Amino acid sequence: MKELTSTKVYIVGENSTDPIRVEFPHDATINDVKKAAIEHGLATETDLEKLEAFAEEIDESYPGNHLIKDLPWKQKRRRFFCGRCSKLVKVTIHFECKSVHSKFWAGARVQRVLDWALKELGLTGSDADDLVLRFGKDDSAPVDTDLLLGSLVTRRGGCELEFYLTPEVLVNG
Amino acid sequence: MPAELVTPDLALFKIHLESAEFGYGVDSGWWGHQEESAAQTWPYFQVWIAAPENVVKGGVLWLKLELSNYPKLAPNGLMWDMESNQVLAQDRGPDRSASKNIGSVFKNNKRIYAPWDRGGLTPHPEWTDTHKHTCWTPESTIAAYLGHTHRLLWKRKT
Repeated sequence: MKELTSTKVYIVGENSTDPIRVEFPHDATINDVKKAAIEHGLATETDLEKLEAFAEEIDESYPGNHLIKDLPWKQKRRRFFCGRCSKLVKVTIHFECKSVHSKFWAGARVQRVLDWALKELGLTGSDADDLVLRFGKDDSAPVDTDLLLGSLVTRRGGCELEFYLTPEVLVNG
Repeated sequence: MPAELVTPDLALFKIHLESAEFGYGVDSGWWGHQEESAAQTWPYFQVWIAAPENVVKGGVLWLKLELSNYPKLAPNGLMWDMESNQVLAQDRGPDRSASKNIGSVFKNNKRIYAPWDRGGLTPHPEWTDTHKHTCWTPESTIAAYLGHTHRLLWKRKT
């Protein structure tokens, strides 16, 4: 008896951090992920050749006919970013009077950016304790470190992101 | 067989358990819940949250949530010992030296003193203004509660 299997996939789009959940057959491809993103309104680009799909924390792009199950996944869950960013997102981090710059794949998690920034800025121990990335200097919401960089790119903007590294105080007293 | 009585708070909670946001945390290995259905134990529901081994012994923090009037009221979480079925012993809670925020939120080693928990929010109604990003609102869901707690526990100590 043939086993029926399916793959549960989470997809985010540009400026769309809440994932949708889609069940695909075991032989689904990256193009199937792109089609689902279009169907669910996550992508403004409807040309499969122009729309990019990046798997979480995999620094490589794959052709549309590549099977989802054959990607070199680093974790149990399957998550994609679909958007127009071709591979790399330019990132700038501001901390006090310093700024550092780099480029990350659109499928990279914000945690990787935070880790890189702390190392680049020489912040360790208590200096790094409870530091978070924000889009504004003070009271804007901390950016969830689990998010994929591509999902933070606005649909109208370019593939660039600018963060401020500031402490987060959850409760006082 | 009598029909199961489903109160509005339970009905909404069950919907939120089926959401992509909640399922995403389950599939990521971040959290899970008791085997019994929510209806069997309502208004209580036990959830677990994965934690670093150096923050919580065993790598899992169980909470017993009191969820009456969900989501109008924030969940009221108690750190729970599943073996003895009682409040977690004082020395088995999260390591409060792991970070400043972990030290503050778990300072009484029994309840969660945070803007997303009733135990913290009730004595601090001003948090709805001062902690807008993490404060529980009637639009919040159980996934947000677990997400805030999970994120706090995994805050890296470099």
